[in-house]
Amino acid sequence: MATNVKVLVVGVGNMGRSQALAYHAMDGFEIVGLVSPSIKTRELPDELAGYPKFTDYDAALADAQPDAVSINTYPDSHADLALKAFDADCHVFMEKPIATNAADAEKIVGAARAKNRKLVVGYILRVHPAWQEFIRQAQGLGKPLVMRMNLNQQSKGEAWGWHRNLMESLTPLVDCGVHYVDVMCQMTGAKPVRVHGIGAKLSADTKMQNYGHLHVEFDDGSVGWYEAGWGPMMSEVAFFVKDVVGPKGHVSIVPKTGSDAASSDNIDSHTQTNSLLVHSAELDDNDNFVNEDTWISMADEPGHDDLCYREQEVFYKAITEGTDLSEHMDSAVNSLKIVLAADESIKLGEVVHMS
Amino acid sequence: MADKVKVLVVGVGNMGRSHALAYHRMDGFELVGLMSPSIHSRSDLPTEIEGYPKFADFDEAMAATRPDSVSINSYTDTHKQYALKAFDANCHVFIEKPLAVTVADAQEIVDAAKARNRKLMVGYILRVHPAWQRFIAESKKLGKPLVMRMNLNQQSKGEAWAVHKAIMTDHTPLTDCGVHYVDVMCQMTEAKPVRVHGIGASLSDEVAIQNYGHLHIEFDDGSVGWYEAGCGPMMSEVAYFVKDVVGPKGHVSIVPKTGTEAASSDSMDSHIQTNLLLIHSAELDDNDNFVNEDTWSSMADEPSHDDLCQREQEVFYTAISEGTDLTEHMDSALSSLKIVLAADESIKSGEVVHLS
Repeated sequence: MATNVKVLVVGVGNMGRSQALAYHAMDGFEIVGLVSPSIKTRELPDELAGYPKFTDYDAALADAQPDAVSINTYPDSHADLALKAFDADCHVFMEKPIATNAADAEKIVGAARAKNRKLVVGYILRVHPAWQEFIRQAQGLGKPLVMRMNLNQQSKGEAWGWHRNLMESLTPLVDCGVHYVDVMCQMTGAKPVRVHGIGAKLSADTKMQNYGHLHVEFDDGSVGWYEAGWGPMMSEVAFFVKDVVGPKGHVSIVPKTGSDAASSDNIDSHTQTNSLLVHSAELDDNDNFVNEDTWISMADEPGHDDLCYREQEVFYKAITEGTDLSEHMDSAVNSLKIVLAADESIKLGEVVHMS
Repeated sequence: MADKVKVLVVGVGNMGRSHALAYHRMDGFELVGLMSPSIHSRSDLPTEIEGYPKFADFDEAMAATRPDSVSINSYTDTHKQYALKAFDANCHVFIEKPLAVTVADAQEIVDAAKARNRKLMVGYILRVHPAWQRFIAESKKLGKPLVMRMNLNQQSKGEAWAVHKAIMTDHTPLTDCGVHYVDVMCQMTEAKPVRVHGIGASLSDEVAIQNYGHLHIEFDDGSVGWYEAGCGPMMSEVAYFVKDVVGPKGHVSIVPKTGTEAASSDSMDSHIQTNLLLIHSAELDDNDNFVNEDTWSSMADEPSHDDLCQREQEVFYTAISEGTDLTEHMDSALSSLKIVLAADESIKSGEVVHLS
């Protein structure tokens, strides 16, 4: 395989343009086309202005003959686009969630394996150094773990528009939750066994529930909860919780001391970590703390576009060096199953037992 | 009743002494005794109540003081026996939450109160707190369904950890603290709780019981709530004090005053101190921008813990002297206990508990 990977970018929304900019900036990739039904009327960053534009995917695949397809469209189109890409012998990068149902997710991974092509799913936190450290620290807290995470967004204006669009195919719990339950699975190294969800529809303008909260239990006794709610009514009280507690103490991603976390609907603030707070539970003979809390400043704070670049570096390496992506693909399917189980639990009013 | 209400105080821990001080100060009550198995070895009672008759045995105290009412502030596993004996002696009863260890025991206490036509009041202290009353009133303007998010986690060390470990011989934090908040949720929705799910974990080898729990609750009007409680030296202070309700029209929340930190998580006054009520409206203009700014109301009337105990006793006194109907109060006490015990049950069984 030559070092030049020809990539066709499908979808030019938020994520699509970030991924395209990464391909543009990287030597190893060559963008051979940008695909979107509305591409003729879209305002694109200057760097992307010169690339071939397509409104039709099938035509683009035939015309541009890419080595890889980068899928950054709404999730309900992922399966169709991915299967066609694999049929055309392409490697695939795709944004999360991998699909909108477990069967499609399995089909996509099955096709990647059958065709011996690489499949990388946009689990952006996996390339974030602070989140990697957060996971590593969590693994030092003993067992069981209590993992408390959320990302609520009080959205208005343009952001509320995007949220309503996303909610045509997915609840916030499913769309965002995959990142965090994947982190929980990495922290525990254990098997998720039970999921319970509650949800509510707080807006007349959305098709789906715009609020959800899930419980997940693991086979090592660890438990976790994830919460996601979007909309103009949402509260900014405790909207950014990334916290893990174990017998030995807790570790948390917190805003830097003295500063407020950025507004809840700003995309950089979602991945921005500020500081890692590490607290030890160790007590002396008077039941007082032996150690002071420590804050690890995240000096190397990649922005959103930097992270997309790092994801594409992983993709490039997988294609050119043949990295084994089994764990990556299985985790993508597993994390989707957990959040879909939460949605199912909400509908049934019962716990969903994971097989 | 023109005469003073004679009251025997049972249990002289944190809550017992607060209530005893209230009875001591109030004209309508006459404190006739303090009872606790270890009372003779206690040297730390507040000076105001030091001089009252002391008893180590309940039956002896009842016979000697012949009270009109009994104030039960002992560990929960003694609640039923003391309450039933008090009703047998024709007394009214004030009793700290949780009402009892099991739903069956709680039901027995309520039934005894009704059978004896005596007043039974349970220590749901938030019910007499003006800021919480306001919080509930504002939440009813948010539309339906409601999403109610509440917790009280405590990173406890030293003495506070010792107190928590003692409470945890009877109760999980979820049960001990949760009753207040699920009662608030029931008042906010005025709907019937239908399903409960819980998760929990044992993070300390110093206690046999789980020191962390989180529950989901669903109501028959579509409203949902979650409550979280964890205590111990490992607990996080990240998002430890969440009192937040969201509805279609916006949200209302109890938040710390801007520029100050919420007091440390294991300080008793900080649990009740409300700081500010934040009200946010979801209304958007044609550009999807907010029409209204958020408002913060200062809770000018911030009663201390002891003030609130006195307010509770004022309600108790009025009930005894004027015959206030406490049916809703007792039913709510039962209901909130059922909910938190269902959460504990759910944790054990791994299944949702459907409430009848």
